[in-house]
Amino acid sequence: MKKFFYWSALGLLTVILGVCVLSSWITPYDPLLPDLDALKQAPSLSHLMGTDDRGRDVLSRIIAGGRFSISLGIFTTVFALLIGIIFGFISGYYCGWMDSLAGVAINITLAFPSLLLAIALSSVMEPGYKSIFVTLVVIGWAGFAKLIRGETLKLKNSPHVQAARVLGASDLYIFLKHILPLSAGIIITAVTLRVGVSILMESSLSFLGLGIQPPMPTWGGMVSQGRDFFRSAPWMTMFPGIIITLTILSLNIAGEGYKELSAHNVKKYK
Amino acid sequence: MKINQNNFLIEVKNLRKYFPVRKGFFAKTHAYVKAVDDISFSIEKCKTLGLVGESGCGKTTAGRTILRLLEPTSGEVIFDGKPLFNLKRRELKSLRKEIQIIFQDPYSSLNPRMPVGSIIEEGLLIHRIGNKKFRRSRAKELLDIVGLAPDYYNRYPHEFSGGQRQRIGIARALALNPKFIVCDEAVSALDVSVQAQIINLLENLQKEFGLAYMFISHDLGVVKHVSDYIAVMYLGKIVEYASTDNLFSNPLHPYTQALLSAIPVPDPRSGKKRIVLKGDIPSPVNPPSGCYFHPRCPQAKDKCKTKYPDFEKKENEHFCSCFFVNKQSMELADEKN
Repeated sequence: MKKFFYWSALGLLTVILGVCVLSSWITPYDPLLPDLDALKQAPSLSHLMGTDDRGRDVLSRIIAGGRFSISLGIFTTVFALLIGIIFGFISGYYCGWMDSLAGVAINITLAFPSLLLAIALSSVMEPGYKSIFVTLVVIGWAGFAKLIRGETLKLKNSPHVQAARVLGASDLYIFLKHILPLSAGIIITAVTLRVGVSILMESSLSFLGLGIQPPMPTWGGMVSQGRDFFRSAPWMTMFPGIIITLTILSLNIAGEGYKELSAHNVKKYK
Repeated sequence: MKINQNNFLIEVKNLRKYFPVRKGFFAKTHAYVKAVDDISFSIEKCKTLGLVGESGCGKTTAGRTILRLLEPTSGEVIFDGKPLFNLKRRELKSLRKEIQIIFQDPYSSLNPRMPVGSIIEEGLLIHRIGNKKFRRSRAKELLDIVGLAPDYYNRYPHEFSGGQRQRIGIARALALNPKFIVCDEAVSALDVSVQAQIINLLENLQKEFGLAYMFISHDLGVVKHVSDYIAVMYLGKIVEYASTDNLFSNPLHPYTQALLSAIPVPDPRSGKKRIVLKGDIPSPVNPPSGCYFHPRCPQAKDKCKTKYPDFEKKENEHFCSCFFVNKQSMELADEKN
């Protein structure tokens, strides 16, 4: 049963990702063009998810918005991971004052309420793709750094790492060959979870109007927009909301599932 | 210790390794764990030094410090005429080829995500020796030398048993043609029958490649079998050093005598007297005054409580740090008569 969930989550993610990549070709209507003949239409065969207050097709806007939401989620996570790897490794491997310094930076970032930090950061910069990107990286790197610091601390004294040092290996070599491959499972899990968090955070920021500005659609922005018409046109908020939930849920299930599968593999290796 | 200045491959002089014990908000060092406290010894080419002692006495720390896996607090190690602790980064890297280690745990000492071939080739790759083809053939040759099939090249460590894994670890250590190998409890984690195989392999390799070993172990039987010389450690210090025959036939230090009396004899009627030591091994943070061994020593006198006995030559090539050695051995000689 667990496997079934894992594979269906992966399948759903693939579909969502594929649709977003192909978004400019497969949107049934222009996501930006208002149609005054079709304001706030309920879902029907011609508009599967209805239309919004300006007559734009909700499905088309979800597909177009997914491109921003998902690419932001993925790219910010990759960037945060890179920064986290550098800080985490230096902090865990060398200890001493570098560890204290990195540790302070990590803990301050983690201790700060992330939504508050995000609001502060994106209000300083001009709202848009760039501001959200920077915000999400700044919020996200510390978790990765902490994770990788822990893994490095755990592995750096294991005999195979010591053997490599005796053979004359450089620190970078040890990290790339001995520490990173052995923490890959846990990192991948953390990455999938983080992508989910980033998408959610982007939605929250867009909901607050600090994200990508209208008329460009984003999932969070659509929820925010539809809020005013929730009574008369619930589909305007419902469908983007459902899509956000489904995406995050599948990311979490996939991440957890991968963790379990790789734990199983590690058992086999030992 | 001045035994003989020639022919030494490695000389360890007054090596100390203290670990700071930090406490409090500002991590102030308020004490030191004296894991290795002023030890000196030397090993000749193609010979084996056994380093024995209880767990926690600093044997492993001594080995790791000599390998520069840990930075020494003070002291000197001269390897093949070169001072090991004053080398620059690049010099150290090239000297790394000559000194290798075999670990105790054959499970955690091999990276589970690397195939056997890559594990063995790792040293060659790090030192950029040869091309891919050369490294591959060298790895297969090494597999053959340590008694494994060259076909195992592409397999992963989890497919092997403990003894086989230990052979892979040995092949990795041999890859760079070292002169000196630290065997850190290299057979302690193995079954007795496998132990014998690995020990035989190590002895054959010693003859074939002219290796010197430092054999760290708590198993006196194994050490007796493999070593030419034995150093007995207690609480970070070497208390006795002698050739294997000498040490086993005529142990001078009371601690060594107690250790030897603990070796089981496969004869129920031997009537051997066992010296049972009282108490536990004291904390190396706060060692006893005077001779570290005096609280547990059956022969301790008042003098032992105030002064640490010098490590001095008692007989030919037999060193010991105890005030009453000469008297004891004389008594022993009397008893024998």
